[in-house]
Amino acid sequence: MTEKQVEISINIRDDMRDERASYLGSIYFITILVGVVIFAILAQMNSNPGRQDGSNASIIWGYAVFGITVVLSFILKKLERTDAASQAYMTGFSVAIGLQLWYIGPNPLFYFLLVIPVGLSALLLEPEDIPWQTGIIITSAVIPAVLRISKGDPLTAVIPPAGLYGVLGFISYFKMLDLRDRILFTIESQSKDSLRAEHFYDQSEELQKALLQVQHYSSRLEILNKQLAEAQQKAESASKAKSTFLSNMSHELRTPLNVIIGYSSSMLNMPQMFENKRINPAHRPYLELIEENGHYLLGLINDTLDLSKIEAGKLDLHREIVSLSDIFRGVMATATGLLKGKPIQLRSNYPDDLPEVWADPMRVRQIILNLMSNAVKFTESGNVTLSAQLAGEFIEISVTDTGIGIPEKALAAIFDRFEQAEKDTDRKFGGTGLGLDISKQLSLMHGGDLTVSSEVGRGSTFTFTLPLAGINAQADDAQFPTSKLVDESSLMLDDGEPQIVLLAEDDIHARRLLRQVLEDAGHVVVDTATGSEALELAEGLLPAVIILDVHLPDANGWQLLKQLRSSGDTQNIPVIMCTADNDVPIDVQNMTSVYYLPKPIIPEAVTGLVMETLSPKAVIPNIESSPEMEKLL
Amino acid sequence: MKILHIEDDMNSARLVEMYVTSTHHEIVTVYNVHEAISVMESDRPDLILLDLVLNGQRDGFSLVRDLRQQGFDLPIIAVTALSTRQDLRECNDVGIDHVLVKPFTIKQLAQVIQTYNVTA
Repeated sequence: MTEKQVEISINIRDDMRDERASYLGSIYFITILVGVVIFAILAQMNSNPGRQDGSNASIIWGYAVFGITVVLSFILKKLERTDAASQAYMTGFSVAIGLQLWYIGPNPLFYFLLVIPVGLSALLLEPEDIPWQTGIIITSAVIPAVLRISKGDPLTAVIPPAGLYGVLGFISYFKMLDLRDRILFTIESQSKDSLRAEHFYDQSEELQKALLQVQHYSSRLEILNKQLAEAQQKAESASKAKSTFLSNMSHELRTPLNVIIGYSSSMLNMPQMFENKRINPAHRPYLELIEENGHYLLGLINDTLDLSKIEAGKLDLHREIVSLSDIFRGVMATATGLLKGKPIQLRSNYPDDLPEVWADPMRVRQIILNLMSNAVKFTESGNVTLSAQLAGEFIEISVTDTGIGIPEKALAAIFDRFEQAEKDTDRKFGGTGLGLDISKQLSLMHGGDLTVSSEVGRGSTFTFTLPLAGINAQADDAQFPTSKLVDESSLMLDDGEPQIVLLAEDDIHARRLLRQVLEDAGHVVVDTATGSEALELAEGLLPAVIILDVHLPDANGWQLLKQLRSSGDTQNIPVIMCTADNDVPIDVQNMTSVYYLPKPIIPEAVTGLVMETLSPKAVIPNIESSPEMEKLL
Repeated sequence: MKILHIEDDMNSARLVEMYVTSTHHEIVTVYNVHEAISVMESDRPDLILLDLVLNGQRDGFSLVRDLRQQGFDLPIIAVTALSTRQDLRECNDVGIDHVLVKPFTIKQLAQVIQTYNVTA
């Protein structure tokens, strides 16, 4: 039962009690009134002198008893003892009538009159009062009869009216009890109905209130919606302002850095700009410090801007279908440039059939490169291994080193901003301490994660996971055209000399496309349609990279590759094999510096791959490309 | 080769000037778009090196857009501290051939100039 229902049922009971009390009160007064009237009629008859065969004292006693009875019952009624009041009244009334009858003598009329208040009194009584009332009826019938008989009246004159009175008394009494039950029942059901009606009324009132509340809320909702729209607009403009701010900050910080790095590097490397005057050797180390710190500052700016962008939610991933092995090759080449003579062996270990992923290639590259450069930074000798494997719905990419390792207590904080394992490591190892934080954030943005396990003195393993599921996602975010503008090859080449790319491709359309793309990227392209010419050109030009079609009219590309590798001059030139199929001969699989360009040719893939084969040493990456490399240089 | 160089930061301008002069190319440096337009009319350059943000305004973009609309088809190289993808995309859209992001080293500048040397 709910609280509400309990309350209602209590209300019903209270109301019924009230109704019932008022009913009993009315019956009580009617009974008294009827009693007084009957008593008055009897008293009038008693004043008839011809009928005086009893004692005067009985008349006086009759008045007295009746008077006392009425007063007593009134008092009891006032004390809200209605039952006791009616019983006292009935008792007193019966005794008073008896006294009157004793005086008057047996008169059937009086007995009839007596029946009326007796019956009425039944309306007042509870069922448990029946024996009491029965006793009163019998007494009020028997006592006068006995008194009359003792006075010498004949039995035949006394018993019939007394018996009739008794019988009628009982009949009227029980009839009235029945009537009383019905009246009370009616009262109860009426009060219940009225309560229900009242309850419904209450409910409809509540409904009305609820309706008003709904109206109130809906208008409030309307206001809130309006406010929300305003807030959204504000947030959008704030977000735009934030973007503009970041862009401007980047611009403003880079401008003076351009002067610092530009002049210091020129003074160090371009004496022709300074009337061929070489700088004083005593000054050189300090100028180098200026340049180095300029680069360090640039790395810091790039990292900070990356982090600000991540935090402002302004760093968007530009996802596309990414071949991880392409990225791995590029990263391995770059990492080689980071070794700087350290006795570290770079290894890679991943299956050829790694599935493609739906990711931002630049960011994936940034993460792996960050892990690789950290590994190289914190390893004095041994190996740094880049490995990848499928693990359920993810690809796990791990970078394992044999470096100094990370103490257990520092592991938890390793991804925190500006944290390095030891507070003094940054002096020795350099770096901003932002790299891992950025990498972690970027991993999370890709739906993956970045975790670490490490043992002091043994080395560390950083594992970066990328979900496979994303590959099915639609390429709904617009792809930024990776045109010559942002291809990193020209930005990242270390020396000013354009790189010669030798291109052996017999299909004229493919050749033209490749030539165009490579030239746009700032390379010098020498092309040929035959294998024999390609070999001659390779010997003569010693190009920076050779792109070989597997199917040339006069030669098998794989054979050509082996011939190139067997000649001392050309054996170290990286070769990009251009092929539509995947069956790489086993003896080629073990060769280093062999790359694969799948057909059909995608211009971006070409420039990217060429860039990676050229083992670039990043000089100035643009902010979006590889900020991690910057601080290492 | 005649190079028109538009750059409002004197220090950066001087650096580029010093380099280009040492390579025996000809360079004219101007500090705003108005000067650039008048130089374009009087003295047709072979290559434009252009800072995109001039005196706090992104005038460089509109200049390139106008030039391309007028049929100028020689290389335009942005030398700029703008570096976001958004900005680079805009460079692509207005018809800039190459972006050299500041800070750059002289070697990079050398390579770019060499690549786009139409007279060579």
